[in-house]
Amino acid sequence: MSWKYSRDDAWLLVQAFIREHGLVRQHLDSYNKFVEKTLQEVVNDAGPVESGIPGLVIGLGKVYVENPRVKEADGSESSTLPMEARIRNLTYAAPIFLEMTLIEEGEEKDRAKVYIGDLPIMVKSVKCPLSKMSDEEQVKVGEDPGDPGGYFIINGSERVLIVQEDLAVNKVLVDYGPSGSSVTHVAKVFSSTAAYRVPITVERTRDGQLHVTFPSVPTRIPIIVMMRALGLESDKEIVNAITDDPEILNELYPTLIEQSRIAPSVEEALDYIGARVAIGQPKEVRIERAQQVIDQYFLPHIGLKPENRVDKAYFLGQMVEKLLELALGRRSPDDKDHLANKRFKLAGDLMASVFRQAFKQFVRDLKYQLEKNRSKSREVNLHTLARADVITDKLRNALATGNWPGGRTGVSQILDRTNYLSTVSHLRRVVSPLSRTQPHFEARELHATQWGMLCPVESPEGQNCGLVKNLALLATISIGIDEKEVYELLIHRLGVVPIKEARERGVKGSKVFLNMRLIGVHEDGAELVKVLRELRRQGKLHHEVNVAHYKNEYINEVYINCDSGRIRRPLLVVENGELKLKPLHLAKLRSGEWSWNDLIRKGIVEYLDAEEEENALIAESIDSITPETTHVEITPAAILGVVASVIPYPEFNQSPRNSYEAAMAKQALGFPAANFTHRMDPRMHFLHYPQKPLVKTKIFDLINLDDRPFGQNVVVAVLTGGGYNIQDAIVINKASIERGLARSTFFRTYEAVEVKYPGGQEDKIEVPPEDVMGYRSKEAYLKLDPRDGIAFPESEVKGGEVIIGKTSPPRFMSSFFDYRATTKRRDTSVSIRLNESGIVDRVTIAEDVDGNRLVKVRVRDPRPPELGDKFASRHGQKGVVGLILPAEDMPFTEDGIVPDILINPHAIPSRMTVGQLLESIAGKVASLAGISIDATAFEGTPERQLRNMLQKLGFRSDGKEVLYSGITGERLEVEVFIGVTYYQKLHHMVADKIHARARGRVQILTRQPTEGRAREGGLRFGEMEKDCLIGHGASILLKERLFESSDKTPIFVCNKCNFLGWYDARRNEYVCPICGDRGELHPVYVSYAFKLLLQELISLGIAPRVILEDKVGVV
Amino acid sequence: MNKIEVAFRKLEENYAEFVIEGITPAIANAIRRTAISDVPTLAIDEVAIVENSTVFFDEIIAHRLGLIPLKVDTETYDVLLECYEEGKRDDCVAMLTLEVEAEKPGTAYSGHLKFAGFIGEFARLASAEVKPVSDLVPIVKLAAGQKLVLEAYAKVGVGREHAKWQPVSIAAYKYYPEIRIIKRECGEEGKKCADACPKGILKWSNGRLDLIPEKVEECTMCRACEEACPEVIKVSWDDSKFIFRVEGLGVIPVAKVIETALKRLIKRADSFVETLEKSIQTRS
Repeated sequence: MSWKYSRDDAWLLVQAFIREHGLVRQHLDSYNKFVEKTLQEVVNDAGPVESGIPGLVIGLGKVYVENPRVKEADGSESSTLPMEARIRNLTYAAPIFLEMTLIEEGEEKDRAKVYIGDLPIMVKSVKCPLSKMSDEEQVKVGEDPGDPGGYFIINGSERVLIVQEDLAVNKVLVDYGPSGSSVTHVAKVFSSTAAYRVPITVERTRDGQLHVTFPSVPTRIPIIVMMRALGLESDKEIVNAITDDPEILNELYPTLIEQSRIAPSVEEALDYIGARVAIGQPKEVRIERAQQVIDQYFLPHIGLKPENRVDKAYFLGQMVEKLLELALGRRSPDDKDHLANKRFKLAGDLMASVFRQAFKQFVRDLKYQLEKNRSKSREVNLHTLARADVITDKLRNALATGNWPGGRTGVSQILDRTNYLSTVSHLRRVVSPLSRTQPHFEARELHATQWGMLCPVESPEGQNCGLVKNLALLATISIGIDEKEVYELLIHRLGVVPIKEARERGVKGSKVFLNMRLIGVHEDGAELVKVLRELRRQGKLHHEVNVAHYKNEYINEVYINCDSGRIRRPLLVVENGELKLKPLHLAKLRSGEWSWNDLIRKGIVEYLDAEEEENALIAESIDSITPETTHVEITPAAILGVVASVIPYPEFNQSPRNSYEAAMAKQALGFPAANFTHRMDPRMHFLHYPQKPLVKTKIFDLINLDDRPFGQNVVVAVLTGGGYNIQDAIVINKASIERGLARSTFFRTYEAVEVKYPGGQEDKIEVPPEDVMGYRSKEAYLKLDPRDGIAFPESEVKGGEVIIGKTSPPRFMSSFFDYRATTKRRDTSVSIRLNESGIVDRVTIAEDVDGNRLVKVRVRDPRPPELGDKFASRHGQKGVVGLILPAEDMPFTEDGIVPDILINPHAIPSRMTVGQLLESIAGKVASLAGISIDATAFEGTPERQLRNMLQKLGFRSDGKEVLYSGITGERLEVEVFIGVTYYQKLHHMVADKIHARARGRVQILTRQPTEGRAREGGLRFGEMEKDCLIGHGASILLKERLFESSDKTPIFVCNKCNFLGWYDARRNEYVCPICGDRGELHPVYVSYAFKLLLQELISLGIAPRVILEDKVGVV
Repeated sequence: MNKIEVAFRKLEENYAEFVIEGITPAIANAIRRTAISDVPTLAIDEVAIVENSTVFFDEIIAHRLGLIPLKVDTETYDVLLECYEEGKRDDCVAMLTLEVEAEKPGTAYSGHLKFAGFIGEFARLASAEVKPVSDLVPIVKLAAGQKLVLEAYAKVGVGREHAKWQPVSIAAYKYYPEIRIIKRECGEEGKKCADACPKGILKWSNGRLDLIPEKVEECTMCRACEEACPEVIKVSWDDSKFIFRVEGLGVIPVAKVIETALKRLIKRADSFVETLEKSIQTRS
């Protein structure tokens, strides 16, 4: 057969994947599962609400989530869409209804569907009407059809829930004990249910004894005691729960003999624990407490009921066995950084944890209300019992602040809308909770298992390096399927013998683990794994089930996982050294008859998690298939994330340069969203003439980046520019700027709310009358429309000018110096920020949730490029404009081509960004031949081909050309490298940074100069500058900088009592509060901060004394 | 001083290629620079927006209008030039109007600009007409119901001030190439040499390397051949002979651009001499 899997085929597959998944499937799927399934589970877990009154119960039934809607201040409700929420500062949320039944003495009294709160809705999830709209319909409601969704809108701002990385829960991990302690080996598991998470550790000490520790029991418990307490009476039972291997048993004997003596019976074992948790209580209480503790807090993920105790014992046995295997050297310690030992929490999981907490509180409140209501009257109305704000507020607060239960912060972040790439990348970000301050070298390093799962390029520099990651192009995260089905299948149909039975009957074979829990033994693990994979490929087993078989001399284990949060990636299946993918499949895919899902269902492509990858032999291309090969990469370029995929020829660059570019691409101005004219974001940029790059990578076509570009193609010559491009500066052609190169507009939205205060007072949006407190000059209000107090659209406004005039009622608590303050209205107008200016672009007047009038004014500021603006190529080569050179002064080629930008040759050799040179040549070919050139990672158009094309087009193949100086007219001595490169304008512009001050603004509290441009701050004369003056002995200058020009203040010190006094201007005399008029006051010049310190000390009841002496000693 | 000779290889309304002999690079460059930056033309410089409900902001539309090349006939041009040189550019302003309302989605093109006469002292130019070089320059796309009404004022200016007043898109030259084949019978070496030339100026057959005479002027003096076989060929140039290439925007014919450039250059030289003489006189 002549067909060979080609790159085009590969990208057809990738396209099919993206078409079906989009870019934020992880969030959407996870949220959908939350709304459709988890929500109900949480409610079911909370179970019927039993009140303190016997026989009075509220049954909880089905949960319904309606469509998103707004609840107006007047109580009316109407359905809403994201754009309305954004503009009106609303929360895009839908009401949750819960079926409740009031049961009294087992008799149903009342049944109702009760409103229990608002659930924030993820944009473009199942509950969002946008997900059911066609592109045209979305446009009609002001939405960008290309917007990926996957975020929430809370109080008008778009918020993303960042995927949280976590150590795998419920998985036993073994390791050596910390050096220097008596503990030699540790087995640890984070037993975690949906609600809580308990760390449980089994430790082996140097004397060979085993102990278990878990919170809520303050001491270590001997392992045998624990197992006995769990109901395994005889030593034989205990041994059965641990192992069937004689050698491990041998290792266990000392412990068994030693510890079995401590508590020979179940009751004694329970008492042993009880004595530690309920000290000084009678025996019955001790035993009861012990039982309660082991049911509730020991391995809660197995179950919370007494009947789960045996299973817990077996799980503990599993831990012990694993630990002993480590001790015997049969296995090596687990690698915490292996992706198989990690789980990722998505939006749905995160929402579930807040909801669970909120719901618990809701139920508690419900119970309270029920009891209260019941004691007052006979009639109980279910609707009035439920207090919906509990859930609404909890959810909204968590999302608005990013503070999550468990003390995690920064979980929700404001969606980055700098450009489309930054948005997508933000939605695919993954963070590790490890602390930023500690080194954690291993955790930050790239791990081999991250191949194809997480992008190796895109990670920030500095303290978050390696902790903040991004998903690779084809990576998905499992949502989780019900473990019960898989269990049934394994036990009843596939011949797995349940562990207890196996140990009793002495069945030998592979240990079978389902979701990291030992469930049984199968005689032939290899066969089991083969059957499972076969079933999965036939579509009879869910594709989310992954299996792995570890086998060596000692270990023979089968791991079957179907839990949520595993990163997985699709691979082409190879059977018998041959691809299962056939041209026929591709044809079906191309014609649209098949979709990606069909490939999965037919087992042509399958998802592997990091665990199953351990069993796979993955060929990088079909040329390297051997008989042992199990899979083939779809394409090697898919190891990169979305942003890194944008870099042309990345494999030719020095690796950190790609990382720099991945960070910079997110700062490039472009076309952030197609609905930008409607959006009222606090800050927004857009590039006037964005272009699609001439040198593209495959990703551009996959995610329609061509429609949302983030830069422009410019002619770049690598040439010294008269010294004006030294140190990474760039020289830019004036004519190019005048023709529209890198022109952008900056938008800032100002906001004012006409608040109605309790008590009838209210704000008023108007042109403030002249007699209000804090009236600015008359000129400041000139731009306001006298009719409504809002600036006219298209009027030019400067810093300090008022654009929304507003007055507020007097403040009663204001200072008593000015008694009029309590009677006069205040000016609380919104004015343009200092240092900024622009044109009033768009005004929206809306009503917020509280029924207050909300005015938003968007001001636009045109920003043609200027000296100092920052630009970057796609290869981590950034620079600021050093000179704007007139076109006639620019060097030119004989064809009359004048470069747009001159970059310095020194930028190239040390940075080794060969990719940029290739891009430049490719861009030149592309523009000359009128084609677009592909430069995807690992498979870009080869250099040789580019050179041949360039030569055929009549240019030197190395991209160099003869240039003539635009100033002298002479030929430049040497040929110059010139080509077309895609350049990005980054959002750091001088207009936002330039700063000088002419007035000496000071802080009110310390009277020291203010800091920062926004506050007209001074430039800090810092520590090192201070040292410099000291070094020069310039003490007077030092005093001037740090004292005279800072917070010099006179204080009056009484020489008698050494306390502070003051000057009474009315009586024209100096007063000492201690000595009265007998005081002897001297003026002393000190730093105001010092005076403040003295007074603060006084306020604390400390008496600081200032002892005065003559400057020159009296002889 | 050598005699200056000029030979036109090509002369079209908007494109000219010619060889000048007998000048220095400085003079050649002065001509080039003047053509780009100091030949006055007409371009929209001020826009009064009456109504704009399009997606583009006023300033973007104004910027785009400025870049539309406007065509004037030669006589009018002379008057405008005079007006400019007398420093009365505000007295020869051409007014254009534009009014587009879209009933269905469409585009406002440069062709929609209507000439509404000259204003100012030079209004006597009434017979002249100012219109865009091309009617198909898109200004802005309109959705149904969007409207754009404006008045645009075109003024005379030079490229130095703003690129919109540049009369040419390309004005460049190169030295006249001089190629010397040192070793004609050079065997395989010659093939390498001939293949290295991107312009295909060299011919190699039967171990003999030759120049293709009619293509010699295409040589860019990139020295690719020299690098391939330094023993065989030597590329140099004559820096008193230039091949010029000028491509106009259609605003005024390129011949006129060159002529005006030269005249302006001479005028500046003259005025320099004048000032010089005057200052010498005042000193003595």
